[in-house]
Amino acid sequence: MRRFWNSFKRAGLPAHIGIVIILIYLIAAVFAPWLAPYGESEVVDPVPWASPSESGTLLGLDQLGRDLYTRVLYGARNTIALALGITCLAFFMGMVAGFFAATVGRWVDHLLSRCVDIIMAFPTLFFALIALSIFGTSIPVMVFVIATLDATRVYRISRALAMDINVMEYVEVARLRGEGLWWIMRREILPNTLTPLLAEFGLRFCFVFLFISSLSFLGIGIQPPAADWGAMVRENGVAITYGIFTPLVPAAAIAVLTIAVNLVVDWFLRKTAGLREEY
Amino acid sequence: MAEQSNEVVLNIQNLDISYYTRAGEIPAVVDFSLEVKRGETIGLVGESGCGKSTVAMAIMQYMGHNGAVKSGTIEFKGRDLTKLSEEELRQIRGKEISMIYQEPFSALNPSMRIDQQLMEVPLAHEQIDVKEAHERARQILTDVNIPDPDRVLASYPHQLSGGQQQRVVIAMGLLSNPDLLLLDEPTTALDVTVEAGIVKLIANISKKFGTSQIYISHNLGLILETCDRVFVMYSGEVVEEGRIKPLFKSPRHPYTHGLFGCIALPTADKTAAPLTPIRGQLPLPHERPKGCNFAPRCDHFAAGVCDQDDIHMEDVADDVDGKHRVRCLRWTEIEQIRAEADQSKEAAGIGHEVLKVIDMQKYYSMHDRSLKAVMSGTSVKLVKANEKIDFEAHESETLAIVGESGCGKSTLAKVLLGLETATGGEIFLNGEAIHDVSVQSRSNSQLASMQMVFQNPSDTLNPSHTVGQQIGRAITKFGVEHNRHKVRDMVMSLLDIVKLPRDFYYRRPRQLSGGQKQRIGIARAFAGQPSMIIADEPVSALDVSVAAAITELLMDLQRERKMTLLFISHDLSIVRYLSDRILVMYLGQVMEQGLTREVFQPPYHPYTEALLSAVPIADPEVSKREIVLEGNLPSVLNPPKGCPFETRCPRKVGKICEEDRPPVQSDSENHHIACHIPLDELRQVEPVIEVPDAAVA
Repeated sequence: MRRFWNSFKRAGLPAHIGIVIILIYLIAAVFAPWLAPYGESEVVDPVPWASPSESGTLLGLDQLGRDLYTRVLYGARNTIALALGITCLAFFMGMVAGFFAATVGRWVDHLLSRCVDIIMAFPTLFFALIALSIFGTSIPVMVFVIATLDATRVYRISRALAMDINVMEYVEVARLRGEGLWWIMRREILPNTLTPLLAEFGLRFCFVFLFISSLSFLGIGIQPPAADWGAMVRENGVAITYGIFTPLVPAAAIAVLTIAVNLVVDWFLRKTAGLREEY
Repeated sequence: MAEQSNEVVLNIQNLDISYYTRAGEIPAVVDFSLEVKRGETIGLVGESGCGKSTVAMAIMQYMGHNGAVKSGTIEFKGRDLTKLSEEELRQIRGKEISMIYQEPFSALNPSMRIDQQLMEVPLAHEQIDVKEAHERARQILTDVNIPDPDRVLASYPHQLSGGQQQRVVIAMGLLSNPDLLLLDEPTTALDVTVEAGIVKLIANISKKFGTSQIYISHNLGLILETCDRVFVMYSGEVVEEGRIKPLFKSPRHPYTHGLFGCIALPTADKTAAPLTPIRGQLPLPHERPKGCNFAPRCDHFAAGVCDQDDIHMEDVADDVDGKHRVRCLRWTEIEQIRAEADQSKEAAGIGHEVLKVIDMQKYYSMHDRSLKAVMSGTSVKLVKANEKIDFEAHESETLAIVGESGCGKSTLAKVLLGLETATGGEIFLNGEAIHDVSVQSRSNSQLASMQMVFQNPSDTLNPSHTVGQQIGRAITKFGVEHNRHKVRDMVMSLLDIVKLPRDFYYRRPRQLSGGQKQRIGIARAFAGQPSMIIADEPVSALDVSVAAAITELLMDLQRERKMTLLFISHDLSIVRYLSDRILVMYLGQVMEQGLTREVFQPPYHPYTEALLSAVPIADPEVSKREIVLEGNLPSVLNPPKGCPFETRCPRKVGKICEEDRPPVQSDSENHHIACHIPLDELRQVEPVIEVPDAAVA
């Protein structure tokens, strides 16, 4: 922990900015019910797109007269929690499959890799649209579909990383000790691939998060009345033609978080590169 | 060695080189002076980190962005290289000074043909046309003894063997007829018999071309075979310099002395005259002690004398022809102290049989999926990695397996350990059959009783776990102990056994040096109290003094624990030192086996004879018959039909060698030779190595 703090102090301004922004988002997401002045889908005043001065609220109202500030806070909750969950699931599936393929090799590797190739051959949005229209637009289905799609990318990276580690002599030593597959994957390979995978985790999180937003924008993501930034951009999109800034607020929320996560990921990547130099 | 003129080609005076890093200035080379005359070969010898490569880089003026010459001059044919512009240096590099690196395959561009690469040199430096350049390239290849130069010229680097590649690189270095050739460990990446050929070539270069050479190596034996004068470096300084023979005969500096104590000369013996490793470690460049850099490791250290001011080189009086100088204040006194105590160790008695291998075979099948191969029905090819291997190993015995790369020694280790299963034959460990039991299905006791020590210590430790975790896991996994506190105590005692401080328990591999990592590797192998250890070149990646310490550690452990040691190596001098019996392998087959004493005396197998001759010996008293093997190792995919060694054998009888497998002839109960030549004839062969009696006594 102390080592982490020390390296954090030396991380540089961009990483610090990124981390502060992420912390603000996390606080907003966790404490949304207490921070928000109104309920998630409470209609404050049935005037669509009332400006802050007209409605007496911080950011004005949306197309149904709900408080935009409240919706953005709750949106953080839904979107971030969902994205985090999906990314974790994608990494779990991708890493287990990737390490497994690399360690066992032979036909298992071929089988898994070809399956992944097949899934990757479809454009992601297209694949998600089909899957969601077949299985219906529920949150669990969406989580599973996006996680599967992303797991293919994670699979590729973790398989490549694990193949490098798998030929190292310390893995051979472990085999000579009679260690099982699970131990080799978890204790010999995982710790030595963690840093690059962590950096990848940050990037993947952004993609998932943007993907959810685009699904919501198309109307098959998070369903109303639950607040979601992507859906909010879509629902309020028309307002931009009247010169009203409302749709820009959730759009900015998406953009800023994406940038912040990337700043932190850049720092991680630099740190990994630095570690390599040390060896 | 060659006719030398008195013209000084290179003159380095009081050179100081520093690297500038974030941590501050790091002095890499201090007070370095060197004069090279035309046609002379200078050896720079020292362990890693002593600054020998930095000197070469300084001569090339190619030190990277953070290195710089701090003071001193490097005069090359009267011009100070430190003061030349980048453009003038470019004219000198490659034309008047050439450099040859350790790894030939990374020095050649893989996507260019050899002729293009060779022709580049004269085309860049001289005004000549392509035709003449091609002729010059062809001529130079003939000069470095490459058979069939036209074929080589038309090849790409990957189509040549390592030895040929290195010859091409040397040819490239000689092509512009340079005045000075820098060779940085030019044979370290090559096999011994190939090395012997290259070394012979290098020794002849100055004779043939009148080129001065600076030969950098960690191997004292190679220096003896190639150089006229030698500079011994330690921690950035030259500690001793002189003409090669007097210096090798009577080294003056305690470090030079220590180095000779670390290498297995023919006079060394594991019980009567064991190696004497230098204690301690090389100091880091920014932690060098005051006064003499070697003081903390020196047996002759005198407080108040050695730890005061910087020490300068002093002339040793007894040598007039070529200076013999030494950087030691007490060299006159040391000589008298040196009547050393008897260090002999007790020999361990060889016990019952531990491992028995009967007719073991290991074949790999290679699938050729090309249409042509499938049509002709030859799509599956057998690679015979091991063919009819037969031997046994006993308790407290060291059995050495000797051979060059590709001889199947590593495959043999893998089969014994169960990472691969044998194709045929039987293997018994402590009476249990293990030839068809792969590592996954071996019992804990089987796993624990045979463990391995690897060649490269940095690859064998998982960088993410602490030393304690890694050794502790081996203890629990082998079912020796499960109680956490007891496991901890056992790890601590294992650390004691391999002579490491106990606080290494909490360290991670990246905080350890190469020798320390190797000790951890040994401690881990000993966790399950094995009856047998397989050591695959355990010291060849280590520095001379570290290697000696590890060798002695293995020997001490063997004495205490009565384990069997299967020592895999290509280095016959270390094998002679520590093994009881030797198995010589070539292309997957055993060519000769017997007690060490028997293998090192006639009758020899012709291959053993060549191997013995190829190993450089750092003792000018020992005379050696020179046998240089022609040609390369045949491909395992397409081995000779008869005797595998037939293509390179200098004693080939005739047709019979090409067509029939050689019969195994027994010279004694233990000594077997697979050769067509009758034993009586082999007995007539002169010994390869002659050790004068005085040295033995």
